[in-house]
Amino acid sequence: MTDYSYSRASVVFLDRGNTKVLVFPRRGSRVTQFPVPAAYRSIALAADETVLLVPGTGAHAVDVYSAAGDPVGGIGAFEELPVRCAPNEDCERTRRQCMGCVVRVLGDAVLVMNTELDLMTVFAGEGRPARSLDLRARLARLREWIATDEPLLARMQERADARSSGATVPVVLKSYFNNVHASPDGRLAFSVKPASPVLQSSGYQYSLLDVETLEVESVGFSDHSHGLRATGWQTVFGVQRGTYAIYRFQD
Amino acid sequence: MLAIPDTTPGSEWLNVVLDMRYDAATGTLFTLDRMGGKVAEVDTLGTLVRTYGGGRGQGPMRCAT
Repeated sequence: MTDYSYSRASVVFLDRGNTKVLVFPRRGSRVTQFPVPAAYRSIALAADETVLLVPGTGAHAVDVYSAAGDPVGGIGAFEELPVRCAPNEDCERTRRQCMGCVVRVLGDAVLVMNTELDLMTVFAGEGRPARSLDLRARLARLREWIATDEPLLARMQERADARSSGATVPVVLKSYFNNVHASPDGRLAFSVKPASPVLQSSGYQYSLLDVETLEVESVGFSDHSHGLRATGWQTVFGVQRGTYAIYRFQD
Repeated sequence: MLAIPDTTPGSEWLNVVLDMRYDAATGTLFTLDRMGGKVAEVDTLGTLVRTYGGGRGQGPMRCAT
């Protein structure tokens, strides 16, 4: 899956082969690109336009390139990462194909996360030690919250009943690789989705994480159903001023 | 918030999106298309601002070849 990032001035892509970075100006038309020597896993653009890439191997946790493509160093040590995945191989922990690590910029901090988004390392500026966060307990709490949210479960059950009579509603959360980014209020926004086959396409739970306090706040749930698509509607979401809003676009 | 559907010629069908991010600095949304190859920037009324990448479809930006 292609990853991308943006800053005030640019939008950058890690291309499909993950060995080339495309830089699109948000104003103007001069597209530039530069090759990178490894198949990187994820990309983020810092406020100063430097390009941050997760190699998934090697010396650094994050390799840093200038906007022109010149290597300018690295952040952290690869060995500091709590989970060192072997992308595109079966993950030992999840028993499914790993999609690699994710890098995002959150204010002055650089975050590297595993695919599940429940283990992460925060690199909080030059000279400051990295901090590893284990969010599994927090996400388990979120899972409990959802499991006891009766109106939400009722809606899920209603949908499940409609699609598969008598289906049970196991609520197991999975993170969603690309849907993690910085929210305007400085927290990390991400979505999780039910993993049940019945509920796979039923909706997404949106959450905000404070990486300082490790508090996870669930801020909403939206339907993401085939039924909506079938009627020509697409429901998408965004974070606006710390709260989630549901947007609909019509062809 | 429910956006007013935009059906002007400058708009395009977003279809299934893999990802959406909100740029608080500009008040626009970025969406990644289902093939993971094109990002559309739209305002909160649903109007297309421009697209990045993809090499096809509407939008002023084309992937350089």
